[in-house]
Amino acid sequence: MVMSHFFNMGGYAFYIWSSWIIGMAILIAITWHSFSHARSARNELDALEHPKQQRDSDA
Amino acid sequence: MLMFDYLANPTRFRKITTAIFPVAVLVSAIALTFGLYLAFFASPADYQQGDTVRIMYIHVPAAWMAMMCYLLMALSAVFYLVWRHPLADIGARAMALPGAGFALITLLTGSFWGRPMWGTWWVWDARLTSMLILFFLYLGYMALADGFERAERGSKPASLLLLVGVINLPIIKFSVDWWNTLHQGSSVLRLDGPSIDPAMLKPLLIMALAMLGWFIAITILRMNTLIIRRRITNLESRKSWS
Repeated sequence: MVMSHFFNMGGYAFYIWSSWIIGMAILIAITWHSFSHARSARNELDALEHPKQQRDSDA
Repeated sequence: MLMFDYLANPTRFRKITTAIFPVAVLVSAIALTFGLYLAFFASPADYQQGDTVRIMYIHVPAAWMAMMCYLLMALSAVFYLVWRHPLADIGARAMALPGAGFALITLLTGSFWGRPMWGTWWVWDARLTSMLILFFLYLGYMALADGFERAERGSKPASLLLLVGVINLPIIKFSVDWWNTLHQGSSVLRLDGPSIDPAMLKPLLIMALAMLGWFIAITILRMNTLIIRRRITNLESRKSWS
């Protein structure tokens, strides 16, 4: 009962939870995008600076 | 200027940002946990708006961050245009996506707040329209900065766009005073002090701290990535010449 009261948010559940979910999803998406770009850039740089090592590890 | 000169050394920049990054992440995580607790459990519903006031704890800090981020980008543009400092350009580019994210969060959460309170998802009033323009300025900056084969060629026009767009910041801030808008007036950043209840001000400021910590961490990460990308471009062009 208490939990359902909390999730109901005084009848405004859709607006409140949607706002928070969308807001957090945008922040998480930017975080994921930034980390994946950082990782791929680091891998590319490693491949350029140490081409032999990279070929060996690929093999 | 001295700060940019000091940080221009890539090793020094990496050393300093490596120290700041975990602190920013930790501050953001702690503030977010505490802020969520205060926003949903320890703050009261508004006597007029009911529980929809809880949207404010994500909407308002995101709006502050969107404006602060743009201001920092514009300052970086000045440093880039006047002193041609590449780190200033990298900083502006790194801040663009988080800034656009904050502007988008402001617009969307504002819509979800406006529908039950005003009876409409959107209205072309001064505050909403100027915030939409800020979002478009972010998109325009990113398109212009990345629209050239060589990244550096987009830096100057993109920096100029940032400077032109600064005029929008006071318009956003004072739109509710200059025009008769549907959006409520300022209740925190006022000359005569905040008019908001302290029980609501506390989660608001803590959520702003959480977003600030996240913004610093992401900007550091993105700046380091852009520095690596420029290094890759230099190495590739050197290889193609040899």
